[in-house]
Amino acid sequence: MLNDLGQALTMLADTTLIIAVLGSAIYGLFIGAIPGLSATLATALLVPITFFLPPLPAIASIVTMSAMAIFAGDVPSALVRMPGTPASAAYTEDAYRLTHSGKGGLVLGVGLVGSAIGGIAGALVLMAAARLLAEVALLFTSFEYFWVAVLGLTASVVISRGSQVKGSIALLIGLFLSTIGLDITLGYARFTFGSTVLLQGISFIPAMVGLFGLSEVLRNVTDPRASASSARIDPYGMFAETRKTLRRYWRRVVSGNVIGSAIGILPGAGGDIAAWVSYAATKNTSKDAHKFGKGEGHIEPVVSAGSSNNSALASAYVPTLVLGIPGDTITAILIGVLFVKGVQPGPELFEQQPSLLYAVYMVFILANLLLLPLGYLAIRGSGMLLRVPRNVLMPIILAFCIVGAFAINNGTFQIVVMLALGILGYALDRGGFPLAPVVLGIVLGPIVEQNFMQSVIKTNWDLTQFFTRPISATLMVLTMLVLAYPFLQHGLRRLLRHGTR
Amino acid sequence: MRPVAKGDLAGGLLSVAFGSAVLVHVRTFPQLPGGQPGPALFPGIIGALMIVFGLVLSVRSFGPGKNAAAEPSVPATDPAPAATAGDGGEDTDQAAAPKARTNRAGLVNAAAIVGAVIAYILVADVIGFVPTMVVLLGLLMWRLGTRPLTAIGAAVITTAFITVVFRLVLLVPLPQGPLGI
Repeated sequence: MLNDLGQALTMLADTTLIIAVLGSAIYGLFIGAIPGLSATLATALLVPITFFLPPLPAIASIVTMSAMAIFAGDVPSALVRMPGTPASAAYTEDAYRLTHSGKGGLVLGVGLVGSAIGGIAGALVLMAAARLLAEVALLFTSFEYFWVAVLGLTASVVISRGSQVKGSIALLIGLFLSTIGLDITLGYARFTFGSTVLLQGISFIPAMVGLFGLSEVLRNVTDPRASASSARIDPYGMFAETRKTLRRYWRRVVSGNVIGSAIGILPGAGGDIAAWVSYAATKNTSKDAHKFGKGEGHIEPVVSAGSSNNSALASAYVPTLVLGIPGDTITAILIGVLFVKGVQPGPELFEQQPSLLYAVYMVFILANLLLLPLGYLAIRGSGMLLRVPRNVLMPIILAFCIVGAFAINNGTFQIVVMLALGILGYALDRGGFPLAPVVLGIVLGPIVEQNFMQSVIKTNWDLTQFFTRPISATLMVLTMLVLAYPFLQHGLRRLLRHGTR
Repeated sequence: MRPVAKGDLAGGLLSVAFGSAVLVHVRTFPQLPGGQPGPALFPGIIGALMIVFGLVLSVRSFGPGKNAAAEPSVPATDPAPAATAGDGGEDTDQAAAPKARTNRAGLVNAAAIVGAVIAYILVADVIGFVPTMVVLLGLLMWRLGTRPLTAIGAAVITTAFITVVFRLVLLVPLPQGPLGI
């Protein structure tokens, strides 16, 4: 193991990687701090560039960028009550009210340190859980992979906020898009209508760039949100206050990390859901619950939810690396990149390339440590960040969308795909449909179908094996639990409320 | 009885229509030797479910009805009922009301963006990446409200940056026009 660790360190000492990490850190802070631009957008735009990097710097950029972006989303939510990324949405109200009663430094300090702690805790969970899961995963056959993929699909719809019906339809759209192309059983061309370019299916990266990039641009130009702000954060004395608060609410830090890691590991559920669940859990078990989101706001939910989203980010890599099943939309995009680079996620990765994995773990820790100084600078410069004019920024992002889509395959067709998915994404969002299930449908669809077909063909349509194999049965029960989650939530909330009265 | 949420009704009906189209189309797919469903199975299920959920959505769009609190949609009592899922990854639906805004200027902007992409697809191979991008970016920025000088400046800088990063560093063959740029 020491040998692998040593190798991992050498891999990290690479100039390309260092430049990539620093560049994506700044990029992540920038995009995260601008309301309306999400971390998934940032990933989609970054991917065409990481496409040209070797696997480790590519993963490192995405890891660093997302860690920074998830923290940076706290800045506009505190200053102008607009979350920079959905992951900060849960505690925006409290952050904003606290800032306006003069406690802005504390809010962002807690956000910063909480995020760093969350990220490192998540990374530790990642290291431990990945190893454990890899052992189990060696026993996985097509039956088990089928259930994990179904679990991911279920989680992305059920645990998401808002209408489950719309989430399901969004998922079905994604699943449909994944069926375009040659099918697994007979090699029959489905829904290609004679086009040869579509034989391989919808090109994944241009689709992502369109779904999250172009649609975001369209959203921004049709419904412009105010960005100019004269609010400023006074960071004087920030760290002392932060330390006191974190010490006082250390239990919330712990619970936030636990919830974050647990939800992150669940395929299909990521940082913003973790933050909401953490917020709700804190509210249901706090003496000061009545102060949350009202009056001057309260720091407690900021502590827990703020660390939740960062730890969820890291633990989302557990199913991603071990099973090739994405833990959230960012890792869903990452998997697409890994496949193209010939890095096959799966338990074999742990046997064949342990040093790569150790390097990834170290990048996580590094990125979250880097978050402290860079995030602090971002807080100082936050006033500037929020004043970037939209009418210049949006066309620039559009340019990157076009070039990014083109660069993958040097094909104009990819730009068409990007455009089509962009319009689709905009229409869906306008209608109140969530976009994340679409991505998960596109990524998990083939996994569900292939494994199902392999399983039934192998056993000549013996469907009982889906329920009798021990690991399959466990995963099936887990899926049922996730399906029952909304009902469980109601019951749990009622129980806890009676408890704290 | 009028629909409360017309957008939902439209979405639901679209889903039903699309699902039906898929179901009809997959009947043309071949079956596995032995008569078992092959390529048609998965899309068929998707189509059927689209019809089901589309119907549910359409029916729901007529308003809450008798059981207003019936659907245990997660978490019903939290603030801003946003429609998101997944990671820190996509946009929050900023409550039902602002969605209905059909701002004329906004729609023209959206059309401009789409038009710009189409224009790029048609023109870039002919006159080259650099001229196409500079012109499109400049026009878009100006349309969105930037002062003309700033627009041209920003357009040139952006195009230069992209050209350096993608063409020179990443060696992506951006289309070259008659001037070779």
